[in-house]
Amino acid sequence: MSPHQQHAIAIRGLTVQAGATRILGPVDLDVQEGEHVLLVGPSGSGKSTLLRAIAGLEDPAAGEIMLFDRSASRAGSRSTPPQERGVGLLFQGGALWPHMTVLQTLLFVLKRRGLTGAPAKQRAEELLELVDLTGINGQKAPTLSGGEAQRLSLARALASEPRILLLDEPLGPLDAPRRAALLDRLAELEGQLGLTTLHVTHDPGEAERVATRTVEIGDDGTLSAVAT
Amino acid sequence: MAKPHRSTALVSRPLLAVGLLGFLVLCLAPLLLMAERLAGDPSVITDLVGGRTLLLLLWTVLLGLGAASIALAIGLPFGFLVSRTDVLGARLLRALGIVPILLPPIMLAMTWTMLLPLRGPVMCALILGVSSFPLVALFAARAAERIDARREEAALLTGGLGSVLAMELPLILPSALGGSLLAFVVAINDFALPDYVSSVGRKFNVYAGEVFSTWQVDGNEARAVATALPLLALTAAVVLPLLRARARSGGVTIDSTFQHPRTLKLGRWRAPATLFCLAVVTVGALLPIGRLAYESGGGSRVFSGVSIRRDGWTQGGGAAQNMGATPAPTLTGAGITDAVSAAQAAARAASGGAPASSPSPGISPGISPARAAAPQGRQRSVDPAAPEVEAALKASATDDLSDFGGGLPAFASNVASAFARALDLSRESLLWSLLFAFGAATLATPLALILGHAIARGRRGVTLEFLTILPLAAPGTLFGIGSIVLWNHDATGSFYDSGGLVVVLFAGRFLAVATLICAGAVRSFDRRLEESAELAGAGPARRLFGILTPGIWTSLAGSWIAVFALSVRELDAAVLVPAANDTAMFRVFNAVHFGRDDFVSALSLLVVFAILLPGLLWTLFSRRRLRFLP
Repeated sequence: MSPHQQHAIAIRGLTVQAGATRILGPVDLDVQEGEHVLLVGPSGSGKSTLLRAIAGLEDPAAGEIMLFDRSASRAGSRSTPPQERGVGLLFQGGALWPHMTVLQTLLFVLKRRGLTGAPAKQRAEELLELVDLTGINGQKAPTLSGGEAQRLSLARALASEPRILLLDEPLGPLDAPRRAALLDRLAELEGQLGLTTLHVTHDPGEAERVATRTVEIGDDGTLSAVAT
Repeated sequence: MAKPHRSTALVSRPLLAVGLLGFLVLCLAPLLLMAERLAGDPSVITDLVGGRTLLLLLWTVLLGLGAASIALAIGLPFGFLVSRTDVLGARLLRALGIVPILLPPIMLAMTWTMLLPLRGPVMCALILGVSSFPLVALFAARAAERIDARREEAALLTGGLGSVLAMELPLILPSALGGSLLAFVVAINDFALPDYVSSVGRKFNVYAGEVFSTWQVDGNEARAVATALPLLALTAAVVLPLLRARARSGGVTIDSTFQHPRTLKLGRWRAPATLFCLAVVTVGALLPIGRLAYESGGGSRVFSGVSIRRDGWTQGGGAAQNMGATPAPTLTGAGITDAVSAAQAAARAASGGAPASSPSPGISPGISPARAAAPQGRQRSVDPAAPEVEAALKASATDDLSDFGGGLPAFASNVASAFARALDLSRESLLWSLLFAFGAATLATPLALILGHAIARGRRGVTLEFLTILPLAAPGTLFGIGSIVLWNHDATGSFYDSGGLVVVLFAGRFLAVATLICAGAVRSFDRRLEESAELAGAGPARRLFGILTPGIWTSLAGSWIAVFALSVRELDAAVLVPAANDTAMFRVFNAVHFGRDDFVSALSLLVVFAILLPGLLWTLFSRRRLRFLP
């Protein structure tokens, strides 16, 4: 780690439970600023749960999550709310809001950040251009194709100007050419915006070319580095 | 989006024929007969055009809008909070939140006319709004529970709880508005509540009362139908768009990848939100029930020791007189009971004349031959349903006047004696109410399953759904008159005088509710399960009862319980049909005007218990949640 780099994500002994059942951990993980880490593992191993815990959507039963050297979640103490963590999450399947158009989706997020009117519209246009999604501003989410939906989802995540991008199987619904295109776009954006990315996938081959390293999560919840 | 594939192959024709026949006899025939009378004398429609009609309609619409707005304002936040957030005791609050719609509005009125100085249409709208807010809450809760967890979390990440609410409001609002439109329909068709509120304050008229009055004055069915037409049109105008919207959006929010949303943490808003929900159930359920319990023990005269000498036979609201409210200048409250006798007599005369009502013993013992033979027009009568009850109550009215003061022991003793008296005098009425309701629910539910299946799977589902909702959309009074005209003939005289007619009347009146619930359940049931059974060689009946029924039995139980509860509290149609005059609810209605407060309260509580009984039993013995919503 170079002297000016810091841990974007530092996880120590993280355990997540659903009732009495442990669904993740204990997990230790460090991700440096600017890294693109692939997280792979079998179904049910807790990959998505780990992302959700980092985003603040799951409370830890034990352990701690630090984001940029500040404690975001610690078992038994008050967590930083999800919207204040500087994290963007690209959900599996997109999770777009069905009653909003493409433009309304972005304006909705920008309004939460205090941007309204013409500046908000201009910023929304920029974001759509960034993800190659222009000319369909008035379309509602359910009418979008799989690729368009994923790119809108990415634009929505970027609209809140996150420092950390969490990707939960973002390429799942796409065919091979669209996967390659979206990965290329992601790599460009990461460089442009200085993002740190934690990327969950069940197919490490698809994203290895944009990743800095790959980590595997085992059935017992422990993490191990994978040689690439 | 592609239109969902519909096929009649899944619908059994013989079963559908049985369902339609039942629907025709129970629901449509009374209304068709009334329509036929109107066709025979169309000139009565011209009588409708006048300033009085328009004014009444305006008042009724304003009343409906007021009630619907109040129901929306309370029901939307309540439904969301108890279904989706971590308010304290959410599950209990949610269950209690259904109680107001099950309570007869008149019982809410008995409390709120005592506690608030408001009267007239404003009080009426307030009570109807509070009474019907559960409709909005139930729809809002269901819509809120159908929002996918990931969509909600995406909003949470962008701006916390505020973002979640802003994103979800447009998704929940259409359902909540649907609930409030139903509240509007309930409000514009209610006439017992405006009558009661008029009896304890200044007189005001609503359109549903006009239908009754028209019938009461001359027994002219054509005029009664003509009078009801604007209400029918208004109701249809509200219900049709609702059905169309529901048919378009039914169940699309849930698919195989659906993830149930998590409980939202309210943080510092948890305490105020809990207080809000608590206040709502207090206003709508706990206070009315508590007040009834308080009054059954003697009320203020026991605790204050103040001797308020009262006539046990107040007219126009004893409770209001106790509170010093001005009694009604006219005998409005008694007006309906007067009218009952006249209307029933008119029914006999007008419908061909049949038996001058010698009610079959044991079924409707309270109906006196004198009342049945009463001439048309207004005639004063005292508690026509039960002269024997009247005598007993009169005798006891002065018995307990020494009970002033005495505090808790006297209160407990009074409660015991009030319940003993209520049970003693109304045991049969309560039993008949339970039996009628049981019969109606048991008759309506299988028919509802067949019709609901045809609505959800058949080609003309929306048309059939609209047809099934007609009886509910028609004012209860009109349905009651239609039933009298249908069944009051020489050939059906014994049935007309029996409890069988009451079962048929209630089943017909509320079959629509059960059908809507069943249709909604079938829509959300994966049709491939039926199709695979069909491929395996199962016949239509086996598929319906062997595959579908086990899959939607919580909805079937919900529709049975809904019909049961609505039947126990039914008044508007029952008030006209002699055989239905022996229900406990009818007795409460009479006693409100003529009886002692402690008797009325104890009897009302027994009725409330009867209404809630199946739901309570379900809650105690089943872990599954009942499904009441279409």
